[in-house]
Amino acid sequence: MADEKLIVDFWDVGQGDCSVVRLPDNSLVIIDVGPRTSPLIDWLQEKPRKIHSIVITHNDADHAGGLPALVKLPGLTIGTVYMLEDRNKTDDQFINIFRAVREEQKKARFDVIRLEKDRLIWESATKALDLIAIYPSFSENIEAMKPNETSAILCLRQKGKVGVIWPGDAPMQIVAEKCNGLTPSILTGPHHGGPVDRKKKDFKTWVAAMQPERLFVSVGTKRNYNLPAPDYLSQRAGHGCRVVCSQLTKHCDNEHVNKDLPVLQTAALLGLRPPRSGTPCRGCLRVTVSETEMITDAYDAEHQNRVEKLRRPLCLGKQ
Amino acid sequence: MEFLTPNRPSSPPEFNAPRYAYVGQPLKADKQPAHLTEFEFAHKVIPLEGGQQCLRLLKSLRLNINEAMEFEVQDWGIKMDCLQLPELPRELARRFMFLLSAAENEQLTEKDQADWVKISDYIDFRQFSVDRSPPRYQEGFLQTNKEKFIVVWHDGTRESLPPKAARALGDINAGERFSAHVKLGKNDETIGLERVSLLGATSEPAMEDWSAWPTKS
Repeated sequence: MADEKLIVDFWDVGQGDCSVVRLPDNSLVIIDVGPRTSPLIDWLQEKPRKIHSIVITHNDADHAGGLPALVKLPGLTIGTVYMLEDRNKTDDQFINIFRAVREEQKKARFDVIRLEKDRLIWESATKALDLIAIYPSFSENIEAMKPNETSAILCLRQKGKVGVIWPGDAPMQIVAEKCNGLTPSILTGPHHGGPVDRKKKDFKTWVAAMQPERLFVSVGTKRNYNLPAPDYLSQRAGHGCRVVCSQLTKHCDNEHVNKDLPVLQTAALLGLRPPRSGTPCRGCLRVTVSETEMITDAYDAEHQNRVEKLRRPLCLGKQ
Repeated sequence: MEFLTPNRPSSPPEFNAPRYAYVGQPLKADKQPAHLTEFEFAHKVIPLEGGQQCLRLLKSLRLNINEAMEFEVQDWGIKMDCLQLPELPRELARRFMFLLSAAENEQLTEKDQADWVKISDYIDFRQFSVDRSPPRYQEGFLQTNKEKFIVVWHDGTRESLPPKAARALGDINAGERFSAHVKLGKNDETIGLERVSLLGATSEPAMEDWSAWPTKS
């Protein structure tokens, strides 16, 4: 049987998260849909595609805000929506985001299933590649005190080895516990490059517990909540991890940001759509995943050259 | 007085010295320049789809003209006869549309990829995408319709609508929930609303039983 390949696009959605995994049959697994204004909706509106599943790591607006627009798109087939409970379901924002999802579920357009540990989202025919949730279990989900504490952690595995980890907004302590000793090719965030527990005493130990080769952070230029956190990026870079942010901040290069000059418009280069605000740095990132390797898109070297010319790129530890 | 003239010359200048210097053979360029001359193309808005859309440029194009009176658009890989200059916007639009389509279908050759990187530096792709994007479904709550129309969208964002967009909510009362297809502009603001529907009072969705949702398997 031929080597099956996946294409994973890490989207630039500004402050938020959204990744799209293209399966060998061309259907999509969407991991978080980004905010209400997510460019993913523009892309899907232009060319409706078959969606195998939508996985929402947790129900914050910057991860799930685009859901109503997505489920109401005409011409789209959706298999399953996976989501977990991370807050009171009488919460206004929860109801407002999921009302449209529930309405479409009642029309039998798709199933909505609880996301929890060991939930297999997708598996290749050869079983060499799979996408699985490794956190939270039912009890961990219920016992969590805050929504971010129960954010799901998803893994894309290649022959049992973890290739990509999506921890949503999970605290670093939990990521370290669940992924201890792993060396994934790519880690996203968590929490847009500023883990919620980054001020805790043992934070450095938790960061060191897992050593990704690359960190992708989808972050907004406007730096809501002051993300990404420079210290976290420096620590990752210090461990030899290559850090890439989707957008620039004023701290990286004031001139580019003020003049609205993108470093690299990867959304165009990859045929995707850009967010409506912010100044792109890496923009989107695409990787092709086979059973044995993971290859990034052709724009890596160009981006690196340009980043080195920036004034104080946080990703290179220049603060 | 010595300290006032520290740089006094040690000897007076030779006013009668020769006013030329021998520099050997006259200087000659080794190579001919790559082009005769170059111009800046002043237009920064390229019409697409018969003017329904446009492509805005972030920087000016440079046209290099050779001795055969042909010009080449720097970084764009377009070469034309000078007499065809009026056709240039059309050629730019065609080049852009070809490369974008090839990128979307993953059919870029290596040379195309290299050209596309250079060309993408000239284009305001965000504005192009914003102009091109159709309105999207959103739900909201009309907080007030006196003087200003203020809406709280389903993600909790509060927005004061511009008058042109607010007109579409004329049939919605303050305190009511609605759905609409919303055209978003640059920086995420609402620039238009259409296909507005009434969703009912704010308390209604909470009446549904959400306790067993989502299902376990």
